[in-house]
Amino acid sequence: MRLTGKTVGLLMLGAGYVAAVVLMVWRAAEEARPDRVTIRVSQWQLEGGVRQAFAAMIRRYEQLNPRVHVELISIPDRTYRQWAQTQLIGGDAPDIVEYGVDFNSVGRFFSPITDEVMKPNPYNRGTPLEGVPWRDTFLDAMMNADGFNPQLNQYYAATLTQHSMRMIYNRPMLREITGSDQPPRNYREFLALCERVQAFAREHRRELSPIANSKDTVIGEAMFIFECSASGVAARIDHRHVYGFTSKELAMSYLRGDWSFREPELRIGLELLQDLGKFSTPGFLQLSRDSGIMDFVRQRTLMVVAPSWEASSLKELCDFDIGAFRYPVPLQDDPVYGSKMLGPYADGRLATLMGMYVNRATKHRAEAIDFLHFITSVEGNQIFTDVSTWLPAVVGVKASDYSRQFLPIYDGYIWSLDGGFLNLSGDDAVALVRNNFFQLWGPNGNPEKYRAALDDGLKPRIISDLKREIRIRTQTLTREDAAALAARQLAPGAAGPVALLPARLEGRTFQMITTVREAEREAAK
Amino acid sequence: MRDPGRRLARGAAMVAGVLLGVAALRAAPAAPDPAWTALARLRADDALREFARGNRPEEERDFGTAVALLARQPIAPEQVAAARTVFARLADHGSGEVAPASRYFLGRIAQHHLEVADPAEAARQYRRLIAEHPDSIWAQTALTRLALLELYPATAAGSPAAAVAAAEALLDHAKLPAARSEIHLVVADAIFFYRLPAAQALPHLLAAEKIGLLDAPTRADTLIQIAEVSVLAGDRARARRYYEAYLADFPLDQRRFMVRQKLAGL
Repeated sequence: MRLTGKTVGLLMLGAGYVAAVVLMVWRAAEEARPDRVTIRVSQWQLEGGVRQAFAAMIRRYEQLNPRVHVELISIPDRTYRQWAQTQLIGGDAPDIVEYGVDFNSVGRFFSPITDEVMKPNPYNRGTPLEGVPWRDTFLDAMMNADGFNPQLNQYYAATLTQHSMRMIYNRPMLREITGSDQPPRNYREFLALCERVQAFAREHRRELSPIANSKDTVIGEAMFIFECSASGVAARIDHRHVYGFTSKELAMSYLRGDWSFREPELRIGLELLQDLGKFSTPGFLQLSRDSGIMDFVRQRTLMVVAPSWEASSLKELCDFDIGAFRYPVPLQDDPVYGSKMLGPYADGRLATLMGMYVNRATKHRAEAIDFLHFITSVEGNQIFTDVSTWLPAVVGVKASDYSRQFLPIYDGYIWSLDGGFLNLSGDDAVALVRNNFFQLWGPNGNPEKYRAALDDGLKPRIISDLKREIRIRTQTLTREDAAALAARQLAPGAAGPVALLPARLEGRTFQMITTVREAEREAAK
Repeated sequence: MRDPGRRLARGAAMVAGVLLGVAALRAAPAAPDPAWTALARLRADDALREFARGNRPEEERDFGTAVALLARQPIAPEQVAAARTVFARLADHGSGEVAPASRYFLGRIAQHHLEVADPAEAARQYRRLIAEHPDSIWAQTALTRLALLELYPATAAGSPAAAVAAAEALLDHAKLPAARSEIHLVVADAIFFYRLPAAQALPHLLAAEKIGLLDAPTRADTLIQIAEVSVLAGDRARARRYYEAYLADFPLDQRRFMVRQKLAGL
């Protein structure tokens, strides 16, 4: 028989159908097994080592709990959000789902773990964390965007790691260019190194730039640099006196005229960003994250801007020795900017990441919580850290020798809870900030052009973002009212008031409404 | 002819069986109500189906159905109107907790569920609830929501200071410590929002902290706020006390660095 393209296509379709049926039957059979519970876990980290780390944690967990089988589902990050939300809406999502609070609908899809977090993690027996409430075994006491949801006033996700932004460098190349493999210690030394690299490239006619960068990775580094330089402004506008604000609160503060990008500290921030772009690969704003990394791997740059989660991949890809250092943002002793700087700076908020949420519809909540206990225990998180070479999230878990150079520094000033000045209010404001990068880093760009583009366009975008946020918050309020009442009906003897969302949180929504209305009135004048 | 002894024994066995069955039923933990369970899981459609099955008192069925209608997505104005009609009837004629709870939801509908919010109507419902059922947990809950209506926007009261005063007056009705604590916190937050002199927030923050019902994240914020505002008010001793209390109680909070800097500068 002759195989035509059509026949091959039909055969492939048939094979796909059979495979899907077999998978469905197998899954149904697994779920029906009386002697074993199967829980499914989904996540999107495909970087080097993470899937292997999950496999190692699952192996050990199943050894300890032969009655429970854990299936890992890894989905690429580009499609993950859509995939997860489709599964959640369809009621077929895994029992544990890696999710991000910025995907929205946390309250709708996931069940809180507030009741569990004050109890000890049973897998920490025999360790220094024995008897410590689960919450306090995390480096940040679960005070991260996924761990504790301030809008819903509930704990939701257990986290596995933390991260930092670093400049990763090629040690042999640094030695070749400067005679030493020691990275720069301050901003002036950093600028001098970048200029030295450019001179070296000219002298040796090599295609070489100081820094590999991309439109994706520059965002994290730019946010870090800008937050550091904005420390003085932040201290002035902390009207709630809590040493911090969310990006939405910062956006409200912008609408109320508390600050603009004309502030002297923010102008310095823009100049620092200009320097970063000046020494980055030409045209980096057109490059994807992978292209930026390949520039470094192929030794076309001395350094690469990289979040620590890329470090495990870079270790596999580079055939040369690499080191890492923190971008040396100027401090009070800088001869040019020192008088306006307020450091030392922290590497962002102490916030552990990779939020693993419990599906509200799971039939195996107890097993899901138990698995989360294990992977966030001293033993489980040590396995994760050792195999992935990512950073730990749990107190007492040791970073590997390699990942130690990426350990964040938290002793320092940090005001923003979630990205701050370059991550304002929501999609519209963020799009303005990012779509205008060319005004700063393009061929004729400069800090003043970028500043003007931001200040000219920000107010209407913040207003549209906040209006969307108000709608979401109001929906949440109304839904949670019903859920709180139902919870009370299920526990009729419960004392005290109904566990509605605290009024102070609802009050923040009213503050947002008031701010937006005033800004709209102002704009209409 | 049947043996009367056997009949008696069979009858006794039947009675014993029934009694044992009843005892077993009483001993077994009652299964959670499926309608309320569905609603607690935000599955309003399932809850509506369960309420419609009718194996429950009419009043509970109507009340539950109305609550579920407020949560069923997508929200249509008609279902909100239907829920409002039921709550209005139950608020006037309902028994036990159903009446105040329904009144509370009438306020809530006006405050948040309508296409165009009606804060005046919401405030009217809350005030009536507080007047008619002052000790009910629903009235105590309504106090905090009424405080928000007094505070935002301040134009309703005439000025931010007047709005704050109106909200403060509600403390007289707050019988539950949780309600008092929450009113103190929302008033302090409004003082900061309206940029009134920060020292005005201090008594509220101190009172909320003293009541002792704050969850950990709120308490950490409150301790820092008390210390910071005490510095502004010139009370360095109190500032030091609260900075130190924060450092002692929140060993993992990242703001420790900034607090230590402030303490060193006192």
